[in-house]
Amino acid sequence: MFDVAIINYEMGNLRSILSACEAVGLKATITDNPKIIKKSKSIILPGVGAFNQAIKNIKKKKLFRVILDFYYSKKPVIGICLGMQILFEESEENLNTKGFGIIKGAVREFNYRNKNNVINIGWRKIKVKKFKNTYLDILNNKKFYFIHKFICVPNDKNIILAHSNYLNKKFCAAVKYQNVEAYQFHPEKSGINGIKIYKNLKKKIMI
Amino acid sequence: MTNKNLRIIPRLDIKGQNLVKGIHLEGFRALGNVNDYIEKYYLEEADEILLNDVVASLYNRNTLFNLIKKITKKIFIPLIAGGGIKSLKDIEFLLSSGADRVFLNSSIIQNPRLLSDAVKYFGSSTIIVSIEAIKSKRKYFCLTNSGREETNLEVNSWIKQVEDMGASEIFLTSVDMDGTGRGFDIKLISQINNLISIPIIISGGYGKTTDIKKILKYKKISAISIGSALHYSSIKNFKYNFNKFDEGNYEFLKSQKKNKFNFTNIKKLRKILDNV
Repeated sequence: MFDVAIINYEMGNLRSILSACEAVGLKATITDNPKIIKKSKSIILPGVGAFNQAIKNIKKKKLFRVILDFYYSKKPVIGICLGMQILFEESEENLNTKGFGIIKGAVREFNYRNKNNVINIGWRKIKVKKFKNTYLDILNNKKFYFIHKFICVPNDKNIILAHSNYLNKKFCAAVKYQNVEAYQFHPEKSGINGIKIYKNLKKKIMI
Repeated sequence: MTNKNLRIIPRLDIKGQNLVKGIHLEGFRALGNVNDYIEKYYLEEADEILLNDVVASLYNRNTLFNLIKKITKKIFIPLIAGGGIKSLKDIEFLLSSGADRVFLNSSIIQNPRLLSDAVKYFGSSTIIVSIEAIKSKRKYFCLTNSGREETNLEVNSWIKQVEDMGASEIFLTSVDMDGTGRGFDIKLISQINNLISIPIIISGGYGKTTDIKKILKYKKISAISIGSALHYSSIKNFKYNFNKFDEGNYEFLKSQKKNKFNFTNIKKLRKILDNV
């Protein structure tokens, strides 16, 4: 049995997530095997790439229901970048494809006047909502690595754990909803501070 | 507004297991084991690491894959890799070895379709276009194969074309300035700054702190990629076992000669950016 099943839908750098898990002593595997996924203590939805391709690959591998059931089982579900976005209902990136709809809301373009092609690449500070009193508090004002064109806009703003800022536009950087935690940035690419997020996952699983 | 958010990206030209450095992308000197340097730059909080396999076509590719697999167990920052990528399969191997983004040059000049395919399969943010620019008769032209071959493709037109095809960023090397420490190629930068809307990583020429101040007004520059100045400042941090190396030009390392670069490191560079 694994602590973490990193869901393999062939999008993004799965190996880095595996290395980050291993660095904090989590037993992790990259898998698309429903049996292994079901037995795991937590799952990570990774991803870099297009919204519709991710959902397409998940459905092709017959993992849509498996992931949804895992969420219903109340065990931790972690979404990273595109893996965060697909938890929402839909994305402006591909309006014909529906996401998991676990989190109510949509994924939108950065949307600047007179600016196409806005892509947020680089290290940005996150502003943690103080009153939430979560493990993220110690990461307030720390920099994390972002690389994305789209941003998540949850209907319920209360689920937002942290914001970040790019070209003076505030956007949602992390959410927590029931047993789901999701990050627009890449904790596994954010150096020591990113690794703290994996340490927190470990704490949660070990209880 | 100046561009204070510039990323600092050490550029590591590699040949097998060795970090190498040339001048104008030629005459590569071996500077030691690339892993040592990568770890040092990670601990100094580089924003990303860039690996450029300068002899990809001549050597066994597996060396690079294994190197990436090994190093990404220890470093948790983004890794950009490239050099000699010829196919979607090559990209897939690099990504599955642990690279986060890749850059393409020679193969997409021959076959631009590969660029649009790569963007489609791997997502725009994963795909960077590398341009090796050289000046000739007041114009800048693209070189291929790590600066070894000339083309009659002008940088000005190519850069617009690759933007349209979906590249997320440009990795622009001034071959004229590479390894010289004489400053970034301001003429080249000012020419292309207004041509495209995607960000540019500039490489080639960094020598002293004022070089950074000179490029801050160019808004399209998202990152500075630095090789020689960082590497030559790091050499003394490592012990070398020359018996272990089987090939390469080690004369410089063995001679322990001084180099012309002022001592620097990533933290120092960051301070310059924070204080402008």
